[in-house]
Amino acid sequence: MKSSNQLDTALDAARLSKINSDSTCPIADAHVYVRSGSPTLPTVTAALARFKNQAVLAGCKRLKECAGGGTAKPGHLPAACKSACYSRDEGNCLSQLERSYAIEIKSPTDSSSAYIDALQSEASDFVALLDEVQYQRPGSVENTLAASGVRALSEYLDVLSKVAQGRKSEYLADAAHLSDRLTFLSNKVEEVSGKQLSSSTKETKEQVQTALGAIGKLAGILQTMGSNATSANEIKRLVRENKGTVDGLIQSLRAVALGDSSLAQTYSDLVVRNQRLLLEQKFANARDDYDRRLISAQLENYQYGDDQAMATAINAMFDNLSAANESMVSLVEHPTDEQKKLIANERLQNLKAAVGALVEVAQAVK
Amino acid sequence: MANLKTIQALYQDTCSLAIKETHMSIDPRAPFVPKDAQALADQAMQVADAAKSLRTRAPAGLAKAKVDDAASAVLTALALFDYINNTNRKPPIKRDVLGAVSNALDALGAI
Repeated sequence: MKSSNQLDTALDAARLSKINSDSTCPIADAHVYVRSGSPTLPTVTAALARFKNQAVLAGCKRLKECAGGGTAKPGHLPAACKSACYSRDEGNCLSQLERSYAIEIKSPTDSSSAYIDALQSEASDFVALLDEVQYQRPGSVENTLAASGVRALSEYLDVLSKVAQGRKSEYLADAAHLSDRLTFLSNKVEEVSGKQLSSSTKETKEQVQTALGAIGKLAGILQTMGSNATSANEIKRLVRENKGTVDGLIQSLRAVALGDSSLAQTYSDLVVRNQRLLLEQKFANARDDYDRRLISAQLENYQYGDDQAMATAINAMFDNLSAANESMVSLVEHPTDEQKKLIANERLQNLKAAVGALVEVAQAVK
Repeated sequence: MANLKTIQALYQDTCSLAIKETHMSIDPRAPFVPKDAQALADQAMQVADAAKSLRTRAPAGLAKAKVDDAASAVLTALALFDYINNTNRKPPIKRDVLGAVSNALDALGAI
């Protein structure tokens, strides 16, 4: 969802600020990793114990040593471990361990469920570590799916409201468009899930599969909207039954979106604050007015954000979703004569199946 | 076992606490003064990190009592920032505010 992207961006800004603080950061590498200060020893040790071909490499040895797994006492780590970024060799070890897990999960050396469960849980810990330290890490499969949940829900309600208002010329095109988008999305998610190691547990993976199936189904249903015939009463029953599920989905996504937005703002404001303090130091040490002007001109790159505006926008978006759902349900429950005709209209018959599929999407992205 | 809604509310409140303390560090209001900015910013970063780790937790594995304790500690700290931001009356004692956030951090850490 949009706010999760904002959160990723803000966290990356914080990482970039650390990268800029240390001239030894290997910025040319495809993956740059920033030390976080969180304990990493159990995760690193587990990975190296599993993938012994990696464990013998110098970069991996250093990785373990810097995590506190060497002979040095805590607080007496080698100077190289104090850099802001993981060294090129350590970073390479992290990248290769991720690949090793992905390979092992794809073709496990032991097919027992106990082995696979343990492997999944260990890989999840490793991905959590990467999520924390990797600069510009690609978004996870689950995030893509959560984003699709909000967008699909919003567009779906939009299509339904046009259906309910009988704006045929618009809803036919919109349903087709949304169907294309959903098909594209499910292809994209499938593509990503094949390549990238995800932090998901087995349950989440199953959920992703279910949601993929549901999204695909919704896409298909929207495409064929208007072919089958079902009674208006049946549609009414389904809409009424599913109102709670849709409301619940809207509310839970709202809470997460609002939280994400203020968290993103917190991280970016704290980075801005540090940058402004650095500028102030440079300003204090500048030789003359000219230098000071160059420095103060950079202040405009470091402005504090407006989290109230963002929260208002997010609330407005979810209010619209709620309102759309309410009016949809109310139209179906208490139709006017004109609307009764519309509900009986063959174009609306597949609403039943579409609502069913939406509920599956809703449950899967929750 | 905690439910999803409780966790989401706690996540949202913890995020609010992080941004409010950040704002306080940027724009300190009594009892805080500019020289407290660093301490506030550092603590706000800890709160933000606590929120971030909460975001990835599955509700099923979390003890309800601990979640409730954390929710109440976070709300207590939030109430102090709200009071500071909305009053012209006597501000609370600085140590109490920082202590309330620190209690919230402990409670979040205990989940």
